[in-house]
Amino acid sequence: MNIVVILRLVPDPLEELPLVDGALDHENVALHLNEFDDHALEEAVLVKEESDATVIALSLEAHGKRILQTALARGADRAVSLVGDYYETLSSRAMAPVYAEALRQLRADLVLTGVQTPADIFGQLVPCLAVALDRPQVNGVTSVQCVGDRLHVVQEYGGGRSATLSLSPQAVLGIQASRQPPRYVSGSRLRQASQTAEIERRECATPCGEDLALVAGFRVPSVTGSAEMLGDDPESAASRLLEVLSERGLAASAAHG
Amino acid sequence: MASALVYIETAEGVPTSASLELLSGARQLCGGDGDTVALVIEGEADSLAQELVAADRILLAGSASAAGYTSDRHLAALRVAVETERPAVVFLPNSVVGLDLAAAVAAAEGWPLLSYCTSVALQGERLSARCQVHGGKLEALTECPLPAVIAVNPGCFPEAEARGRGEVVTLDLGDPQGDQIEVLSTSGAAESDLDITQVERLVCVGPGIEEEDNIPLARDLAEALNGELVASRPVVDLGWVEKTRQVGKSGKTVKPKLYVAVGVSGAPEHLEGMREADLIVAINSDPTAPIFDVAHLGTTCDALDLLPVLTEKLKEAGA
Repeated sequence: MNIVVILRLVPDPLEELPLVDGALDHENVALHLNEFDDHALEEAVLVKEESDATVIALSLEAHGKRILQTALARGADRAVSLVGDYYETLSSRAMAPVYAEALRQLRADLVLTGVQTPADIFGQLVPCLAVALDRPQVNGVTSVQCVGDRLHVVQEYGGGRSATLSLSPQAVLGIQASRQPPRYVSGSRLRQASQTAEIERRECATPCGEDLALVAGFRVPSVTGSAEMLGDDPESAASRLLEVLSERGLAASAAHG
Repeated sequence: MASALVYIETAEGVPTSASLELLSGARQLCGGDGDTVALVIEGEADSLAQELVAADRILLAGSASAAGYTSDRHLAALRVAVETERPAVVFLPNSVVGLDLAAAVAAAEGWPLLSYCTSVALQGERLSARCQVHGGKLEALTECPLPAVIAVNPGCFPEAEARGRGEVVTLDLGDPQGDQIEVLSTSGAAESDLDITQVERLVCVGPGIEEEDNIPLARDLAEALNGELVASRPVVDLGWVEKTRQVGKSGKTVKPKLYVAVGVSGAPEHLEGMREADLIVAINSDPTAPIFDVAHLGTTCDALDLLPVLTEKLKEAGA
């Protein structure tokens, strides 16, 4: 079974997100591996370790080699870089036809990727791919296991509810979290992978799709709250917090209802 | 006169509050002359008619005795409803089920989709929306032609008060479709000795806590407050805190008297689970973090500096 994991670099929401004329300044944005894709890679490697699957990591050439080198160091068997004039501003929906063509070329059975990226305004990749490939899809997945010729996956809903589903491995899954935290890769192992890794390059003739919608601009949301700000001095902030908690009877005893 | 089709998500047979909010939003968007249609897949007609008071019509699709939600069966039914009704706007909640269905129905129909909407408006034949992106740190001003699909964040509209005609209609699904996925089992919230929804004082750690080794600082504060430690999803996904202590969309919704958010950015998915707390204290060194929008008290102190000082003061005060 070929498991293809799609890995994407996205702006890190923990870092500054500078805007220029209402658009994200991609030149000055810190990018990191989409956290859900990170979990998708881990889950793919776990499935491989429990079966005879082959894990293929797929990423855009524009996202650089390191993302694929790391995937190989973490247990992927092959790394494929998608060559083309693709920009990080292209939406998941617009990129879906391109990824779908690459998945056909790679003879992908199971497709795993993150359930969403931080800016999937026009649609997430998994449902768009499922429609393009005419395959079943499940999002919010927290476990994937091969049982005979079927997959058993856990889909998590709000409020802690979940369901265990059975479906064919010819599916597209949006991973919310892997069964165990993404594994750590040591610097030496990563260096070794970067020296020995063979990254395949693929081109797709399929053009990007259309979004059918547009973003007129981005902006920082106006602050709607009215938080009392306590400054950045730990001593004075702690004193004021203690004062407020004491006033409300929250600084002492009795807690569990 | 626009018409709206609202997908009603249910949990244990009851429409979710997010779905009831969508009905309200649909009536608001389409005006009194528009037709607001609720689509319920595998529901009970009598009980749903009482819940979905804002709908002009309630489309019932499939049998209530079906084995539970699957994306393929619900997508097939939703597509039949879209083809039958030809609405101007299809509303879905921004939930896990919404993630399954919204982009899929939009892609299948060749319609535009606007996701993570916090407000929507009709301007002639175009739909405009504000969408929360990048963990709530940015807002996208978007627009698209009709017909369109929108996925709306919870809490953007009040639950429906206006009344529609409430006519219940059975939707003929034709030949059975969507049998690729089978439900093997379902379960409620993970069982635990601790029910965080019943705890009055919670200290929540987010990714800003930086390392697992720093978690004890927050746990000490929770103990000094006679409360409990909880966490946002990324911290739970890293295995630093147990799943049963997760707050947010994919965890529990809590309403404690005190909620101390440590290194929590305030992504919409997290706010959904804690914004009703009586007193919210946000500790985050990023002054632009959305958590400050819902907090009553906030500080940009480095949490690693503040937590030990605050814990010590609470102990000295005799907590």
